[in-house]
Amino acid sequence: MQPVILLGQALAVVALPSVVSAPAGVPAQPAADRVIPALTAVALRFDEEVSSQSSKTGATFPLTLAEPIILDCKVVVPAGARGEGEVIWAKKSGGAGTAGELVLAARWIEVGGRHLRLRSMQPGAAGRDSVGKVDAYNAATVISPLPIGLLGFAMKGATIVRAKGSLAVAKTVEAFPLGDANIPTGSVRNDELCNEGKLNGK
Amino acid sequence: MANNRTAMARVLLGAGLALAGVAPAAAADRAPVVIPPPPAGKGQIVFYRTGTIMGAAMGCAVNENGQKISSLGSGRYFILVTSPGRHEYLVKSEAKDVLALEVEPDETQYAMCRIKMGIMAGRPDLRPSTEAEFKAAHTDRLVDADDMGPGPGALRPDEVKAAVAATSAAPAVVTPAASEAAAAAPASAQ
Repeated sequence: MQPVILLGQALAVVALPSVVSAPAGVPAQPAADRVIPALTAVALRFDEEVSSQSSKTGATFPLTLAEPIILDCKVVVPAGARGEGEVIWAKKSGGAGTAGELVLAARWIEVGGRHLRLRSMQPGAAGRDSVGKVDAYNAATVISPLPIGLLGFAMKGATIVRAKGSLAVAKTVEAFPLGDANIPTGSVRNDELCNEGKLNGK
Repeated sequence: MANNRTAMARVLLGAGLALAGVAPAAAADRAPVVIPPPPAGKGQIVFYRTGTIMGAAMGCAVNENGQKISSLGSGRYFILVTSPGRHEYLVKSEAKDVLALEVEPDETQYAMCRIKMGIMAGRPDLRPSTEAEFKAAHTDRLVDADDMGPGPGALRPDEVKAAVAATSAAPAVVTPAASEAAAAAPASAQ
């Protein structure tokens, strides 16, 4: 059984404020004068598993907005907005202790029928490799009458997996005017955080 | 005769392990590595290689678009300033390995080269890395200017000095503290 590294779990507590999502049926409010600033942090959820073992370089995968985007203490993009990411690089784990590699990018989330472009998702990751263990076998070969270093060729490193439902953080590429998009908005209950200006994403 | 051979092998193995253990301790005494931020609108990648004994004699030259950007000797690093977007890097000595990264403007990424076991000789393996892993590796020697190029982008040592000096905002200071590495690991094993 090959070792597997699960990443997203470590991001279960994302450093974004907890907020109240826009409830169903809230009337749409005009958002013509609101702009989501560039580099606003957004929390994303993986809607399917992405793995160094099964994903292909260049493939896309679905994401959703895990936490609403809030401006001036108002939800301007509710949680659940659809999005997309891209596999920049995927490489399977291999012999001689080589770990799997996975480099991902968040591309966009849909806001009012337009794409809010994203960047700067967590850097790429590689699984825990077994190169050190292979080296140890090779070193042990020196004192062993058997060529046990050859076992290293069969030894694989870990696979990297972003599990379905795991979280990640990205940033918006540029300022995004909401225009006259009809986006259901809701108020934020946590007045204390609101008053401290902590609910505007950055 | 056989006993003598075994004893000699044990001495060699012990010496190797001792050297491997000494290297990080010596590195901890050195000055912290300062990685300056990239120029505005550009991104950068710190390519580094750990200073382990295994494969120390092997090369790990980093190439892009068929041009060598820089050599990468054991225990060395270099900073590549480049345009944002997807880039594919290839390392080669007796074998090849490829890594693609998405370079983001105004951000620094990390990539590590390791030499893994091969049939006739060790093989380079280029993989994505993190600042925490870079810190833990205690890699604190820049590649010499002579070993960089002809491909563009690798900052020469004097350019790194100038970039650090020109940075008005406080740059990221990387201190070689082994304890930080374990704390920074974002993954959990299943």
